[in-house]
Amino acid sequence: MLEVLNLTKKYRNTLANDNLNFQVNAGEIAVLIGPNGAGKSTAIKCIAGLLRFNGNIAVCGYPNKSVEAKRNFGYIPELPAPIETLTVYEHMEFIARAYKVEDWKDKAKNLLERMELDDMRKKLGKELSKGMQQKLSICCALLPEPKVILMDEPLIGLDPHAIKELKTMLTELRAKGCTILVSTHMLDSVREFWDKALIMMNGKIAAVRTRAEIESTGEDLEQLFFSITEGAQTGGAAK
Amino acid sequence: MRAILYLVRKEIKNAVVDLFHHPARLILYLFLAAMLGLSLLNGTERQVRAPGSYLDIRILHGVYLGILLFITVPSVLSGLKSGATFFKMSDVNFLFVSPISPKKILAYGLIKQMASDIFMMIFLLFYAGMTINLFGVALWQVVALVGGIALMVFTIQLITLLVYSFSSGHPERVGWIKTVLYGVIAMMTAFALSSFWFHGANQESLFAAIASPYLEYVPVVGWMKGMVFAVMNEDAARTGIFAALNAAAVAGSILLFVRSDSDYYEDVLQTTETTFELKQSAKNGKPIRTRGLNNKPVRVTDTGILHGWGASVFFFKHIREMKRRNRVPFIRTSSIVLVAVNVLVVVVLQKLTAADGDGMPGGMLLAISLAMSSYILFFFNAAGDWTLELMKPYIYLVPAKPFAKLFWASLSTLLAPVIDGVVIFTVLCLLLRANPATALICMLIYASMGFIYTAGNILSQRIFGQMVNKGMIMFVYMLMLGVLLLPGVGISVALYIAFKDIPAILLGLPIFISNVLVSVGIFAACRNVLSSAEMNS
Repeated sequence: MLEVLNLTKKYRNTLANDNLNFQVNAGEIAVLIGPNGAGKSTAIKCIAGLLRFNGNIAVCGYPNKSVEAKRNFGYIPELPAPIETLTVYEHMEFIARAYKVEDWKDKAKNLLERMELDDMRKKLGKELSKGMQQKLSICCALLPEPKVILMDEPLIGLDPHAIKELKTMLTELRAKGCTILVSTHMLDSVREFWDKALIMMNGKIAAVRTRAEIESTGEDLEQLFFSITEGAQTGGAAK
Repeated sequence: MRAILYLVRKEIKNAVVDLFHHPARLILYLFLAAMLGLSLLNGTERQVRAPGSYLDIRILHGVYLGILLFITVPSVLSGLKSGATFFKMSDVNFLFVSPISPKKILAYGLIKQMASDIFMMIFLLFYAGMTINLFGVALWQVVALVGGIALMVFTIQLITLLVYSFSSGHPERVGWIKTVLYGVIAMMTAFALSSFWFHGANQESLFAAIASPYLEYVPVVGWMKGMVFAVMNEDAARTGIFAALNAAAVAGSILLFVRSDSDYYEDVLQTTETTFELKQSAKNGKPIRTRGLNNKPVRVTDTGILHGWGASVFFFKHIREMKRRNRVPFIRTSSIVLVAVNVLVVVVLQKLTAADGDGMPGGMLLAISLAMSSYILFFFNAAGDWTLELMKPYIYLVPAKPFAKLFWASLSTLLAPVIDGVVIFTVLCLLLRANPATALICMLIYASMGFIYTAGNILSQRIFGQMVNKGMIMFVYMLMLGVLLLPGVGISVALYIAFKDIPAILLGLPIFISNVLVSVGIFAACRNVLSSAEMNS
């Protein structure tokens, strides 16, 4: 489970995240949606422990920067950063050794096959295309079988097969009880699988809706999104 | 033209306003300006000493020519491969597609580049005090020297652009240009060696060769050196001749470039895009492809990290990466270059001093090598595995204690100078038949310099985090290193003053012990740096 309490992140004079509060439960896929510059990536990076922040973030009950929390979450960055001089397979070995994953070889093989990277095992990080780098990044994040998964724009740069496979993986992970937080500005890409939508605007969470709420009230997520994002730009406010 | 003037005006205004929005940066600039002022004032207020107490001015001739060649040759060679640019991606996106004449845009680019080159060269004035003190030159002469370097940087960028435009897509032209370039260098080297041939291999011949007026007729590099030294000697005729030659080089390059291919956009586009991508990569914390490894294909033979569990895997990952870069871990190309440079310097110094008398003692030559290698190590260390690791997310994400990650991720950076030191000083000790104890203390001090550089880097990470302006950090980092080195150096100097005949090993030991203790102290104090650090984003 992921719990974010009063998360505030300030860059000099810019308030990137302003007192964010939300929770994502086990077996739930939450999507953090918002226009460019809303503060989604900053929030994800704070949760992943890559940025300093004010507030409290707990991963499976542990402070997010603790070793226990790190053992429990996987992070797929917006910009994949493979290690130039390691092969694809060595990336998996590196993660397995760093995260102390026992019997990792079969898991790695399965992940690489699903992402169609198995015939690239001997390719170096620097030789991969941007899409392949992203696929490798996904494999690395999922190898330790994390309980909480953070994804920052995970579908960008992926080919149709990888997008389909990743969506299937996400629903499988949800079924296994994983907590998943996906940040994106592309509503269409997450339409089929989200359980909770957190709409961000100007560094704040402007609205939270569950799929059940949307379905019961007949509200349209896309309409709500635009009423918040475009309404705010023209001076309107969302409830 | 109005649009360009508007752009320039706004760029200047916004840069100034932005400076006031970042008071820390403003204070640092003011601090640097004050330091520069002090350095210049210090240089001008020094009492003029007797002529014999300064270094031979011909050394300055040689060093200056060397600097100009160092700026020129790599730039032209890179121009043959990838061209040059003085445009930014925003210029490409907004100006290149606008209905403004390409020639005006080129002029805008040139002026902007020139301003930026002059601004960058201001930092060279920090060496003014040292130059005045060593060679007994006046401040205005140092300004002329620095101005010459700025003009050279500007001119060579133009020539690089022209070279790329002329050779792009014509491999045979690349061959001609390389032949001419190497031919000129070979002729200059042959000229210097001929001086040894005719006048004997001694210091006098070397100085006469490097300061020879004939070298001033070598195109561009020689002309620039000739102009600067003519200005310094207040020789109006030679100043005029060389200024005219340089102006012809600049004007000719612009003219040829504009006339040869009016569509220069394509020539600069690729380099502008590459530069933009590199900057973006650096900003986004992505590894920069050209850093640490060239883009030559690497043959993957044996694979696997094979060792390490938890934090220790970072060290074994570095070993695997080293093997892939250089086959033998820790023996890098830079190590071989460092050994070669040291051997060369020691041999030249030995020959020069032997010609003038008894020759320099082996211990002294080892000490000179130690000082030079430690200075070079500073730059190698800045690009160590530890620094590169901070740019990737894994170091922050791996579930291990921050201190364990800090130790294992910096271990390869700590060990590299130990191995380099052993190789360098063993070779030099054998070559000079020097006292093994002196070589041993040199190895220990060199290794401890590596420790203190890495520790200083960690401390700077702890204090400044991943600040964007690396140039500024570098300056403060150097000051900080000075403070960290102070205890050991202070004790050694005190020992030397108290006991003049003290053996080198005892003289060097305090520096080694102090460096190790200070480094251990910094590691202990910054053990949690990774839990408070921010990835560059």
